Amino acid sequence: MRSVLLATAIGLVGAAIIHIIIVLALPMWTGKDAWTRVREMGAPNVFYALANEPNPTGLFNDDANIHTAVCHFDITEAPVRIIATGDVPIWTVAAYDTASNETFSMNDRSSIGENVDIAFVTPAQMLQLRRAMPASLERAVLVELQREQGYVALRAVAPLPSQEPAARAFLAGALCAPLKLDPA
Amino acid sequence: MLRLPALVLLTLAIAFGGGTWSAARMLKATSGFGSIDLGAWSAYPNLQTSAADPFARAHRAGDGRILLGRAEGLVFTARTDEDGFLLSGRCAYEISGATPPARFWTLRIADAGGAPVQSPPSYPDSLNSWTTLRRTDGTFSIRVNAAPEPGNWIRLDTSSAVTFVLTMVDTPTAASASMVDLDMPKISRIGCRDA
Repeated sequence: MRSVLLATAIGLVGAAIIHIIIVLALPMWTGKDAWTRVREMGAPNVFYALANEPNPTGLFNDDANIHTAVCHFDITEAPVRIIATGDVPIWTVAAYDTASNETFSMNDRSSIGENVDIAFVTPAQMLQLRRAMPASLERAVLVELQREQGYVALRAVAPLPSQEPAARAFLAGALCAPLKLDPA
Repeated sequence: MLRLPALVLLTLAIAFGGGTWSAARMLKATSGFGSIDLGAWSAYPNLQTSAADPFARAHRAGDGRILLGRAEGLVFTARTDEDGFLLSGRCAYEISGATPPARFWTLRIADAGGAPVQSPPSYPDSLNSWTTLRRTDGTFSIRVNAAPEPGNWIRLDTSSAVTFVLTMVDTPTAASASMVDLDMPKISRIGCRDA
């Protein structure tokens, strides 16, 4: 009888350990986390506008008034620059690492001017840029990312149906291109 | 002779069975800690950050959504009305009051899993801060009902449980320390149809 109790007690301790392992390991094994889904949209350095309806990619606009486009990037070789212009009432942008932790976010009120102009760089590239800042980057928001890989979500708000074409055009015209730096 | 293998088997069965069951149950029961609750509404301001707890991270990875960043906005979800009853697609509700400061907000209906409940074309399935009619003091009253109503109306006609989702874009709410002072719209049930 005592050995049965002992076996049960050891089993409960094991259950607690397995509970913790499952909860901690689950994010790596779901196969449908945001980073996996964004990567399955297609090639890097391209903005993909999400559809309004649920679809096989698993990504869609939850909110019909808020249009989203996503782009995944790798800044190991070169920084990536996000540019978008257009007539939208509100835009917001957020960057995430591969674990979908937010690394940066801003909106049109916190930007210089009305347009999206952001460069994501590694700490080493930042040092290089500080030595010789290219003229094209003078008005860009420089963001240092600790991890090279990640994705960025750009959102355009269209409160009224008549503003939807402008929001779609804003996202369709958005750039997420690698930036050539002169070797210094 | 078979006592030891039987005991080992019991231990393993409890460990794996209990561990899996409790993890699945916990993940189903909670979407993580660190929520802010205002009346019937709750939000997770740290869900998209590295400060999220392990349960929230597991949920986040399973849902696979592109979450709103800190400077983008905050999403409040209501599962119950003011009296604590679960929101049903067979009932009519009135959502009235004001929202915390935000540059833009939308109110829409989702099912229990968070997927949008879509109305047939030409029926309104959401309202936002530009399309909502206000009283002179800035407050609003939105009717959520299967039958059309004058004023602010969102169509709700489904047989399952629903949630109301209030998305606030560019709001200082997430950083606000005194959460209790914030005004959130009140959800009151008007009536229900027979099942």
